[in-house]
Amino acid sequence: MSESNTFSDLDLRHKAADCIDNNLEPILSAWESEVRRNIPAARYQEKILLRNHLLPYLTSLSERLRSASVKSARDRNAQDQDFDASANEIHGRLRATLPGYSIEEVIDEYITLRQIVTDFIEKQNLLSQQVLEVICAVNEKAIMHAATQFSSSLQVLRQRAVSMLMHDIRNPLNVVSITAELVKAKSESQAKNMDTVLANAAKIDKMVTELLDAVKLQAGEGLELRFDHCDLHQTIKVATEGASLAYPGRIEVHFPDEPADGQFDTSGLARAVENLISNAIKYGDSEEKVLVELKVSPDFVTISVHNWGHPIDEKDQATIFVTFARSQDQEKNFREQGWGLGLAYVKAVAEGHGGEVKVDSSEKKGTTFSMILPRGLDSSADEGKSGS
Amino acid sequence: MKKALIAEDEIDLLQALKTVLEGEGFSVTACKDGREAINMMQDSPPSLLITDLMMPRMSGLELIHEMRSRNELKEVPVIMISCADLPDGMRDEDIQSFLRKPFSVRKLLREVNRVLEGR
Repeated sequence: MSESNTFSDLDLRHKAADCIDNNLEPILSAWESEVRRNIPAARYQEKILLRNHLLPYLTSLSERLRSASVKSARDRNAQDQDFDASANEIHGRLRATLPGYSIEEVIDEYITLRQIVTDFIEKQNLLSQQVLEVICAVNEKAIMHAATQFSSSLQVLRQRAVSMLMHDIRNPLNVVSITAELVKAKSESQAKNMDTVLANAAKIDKMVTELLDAVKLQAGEGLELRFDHCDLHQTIKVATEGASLAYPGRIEVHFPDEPADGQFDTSGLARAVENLISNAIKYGDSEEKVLVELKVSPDFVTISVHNWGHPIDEKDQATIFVTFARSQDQEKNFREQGWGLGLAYVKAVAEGHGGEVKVDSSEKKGTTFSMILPRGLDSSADEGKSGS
Repeated sequence: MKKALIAEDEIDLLQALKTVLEGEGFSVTACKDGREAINMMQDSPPSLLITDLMMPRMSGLELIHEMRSRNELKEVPVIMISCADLPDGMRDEDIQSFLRKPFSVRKLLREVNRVLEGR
């Protein structure tokens, strides 16, 4: 590091900036050779693709070095670096689309660039403490922008891939179900086997739909809800039918005498109630009944599902509605936990109705999940998206 | 004999749907995309079109817009089938029925009968 030179700090920074401006191509060439040697994902990339947006990084660095104030030159949160930020963000985003790049490799590219720039400046005997601080500050901010974008872009790409795959699965699934129905219609001896095929095709379809909903919820897109004026007596009957057949005598339903009508998305609510019942059966005491209750007040309806058994830990109650969240107990036994999507869906549906979902769980009272939904009788609730 | 045209790029599903409709007494022709469907329909419009939404060359959405702009095809009833939900911007008058895959034979035939009775 240069300590013995006679230049002022500002002079040194200006000269370091000149050194960068005069050596853009050699710096990028040296960097390119280095990353091709050390970063496997960079090895076979085209030159333009590899170097994209690194020139603005160098230009931005030299501008920072020329900055009159040492403080603003070092400042990692300086507002004048918009171009730098967007170039690095684009760089991170594009890296997410190139095969083989991990977040470590994106960061490694920037660290390599910092080392090469530092070497060039040091060879000219221009590397003061201030110059090094500016180089590091610009580099850290660039890494932060690029890595953040890389990571969020990768997540979006993964979500898209999952979504496409899940949609595409419905084609072969439909071939399976139609073919099973055709065989069933022609061969009485195969009817039972074909019913098993059909029941399992329906299970796969349910899982696909749940996963697609979860991807949407995670991406912050919300659920598509279609509101109609309807009575929830029928919705609860439909939602409890499957579980009552599968677990005879286990499901008890309490209906109010008065109608529970309002503006609701019945299919969304039916699925939400199915999810709550499925959880109550899965995690509740198998010797005890699951109680599904519908209550009505002038402005609200409440759908609650209660089970006895081991209560949900208080610390888990806060995160239980988050997509893919699983309680610590559930983590211990992966097979029992399902997808971890059901409650996130329940919450999204309740909130999409302008309502909420609550959990009350203790050893003494058992566990109750309640969806509290405004009836929307006097307001014009129409077709829309949930706000989640 | 009632004539049905099925446009679907998934060959196995196309074949399964063809078998179902032939079993119901339809004369069925089949094609793999919207462009082929237009070519096959223009000389002899079918009693019913069942079309997938996502297809190469010409999608189901483009196919329906093209049909509705042609005098000889604008009255042909359409059942749209898709792996995704009903697309935004699809008007009620554009299609007579929408089935999200996977659908059952019973549901398909119920919609076929409903659509044909409504003509």
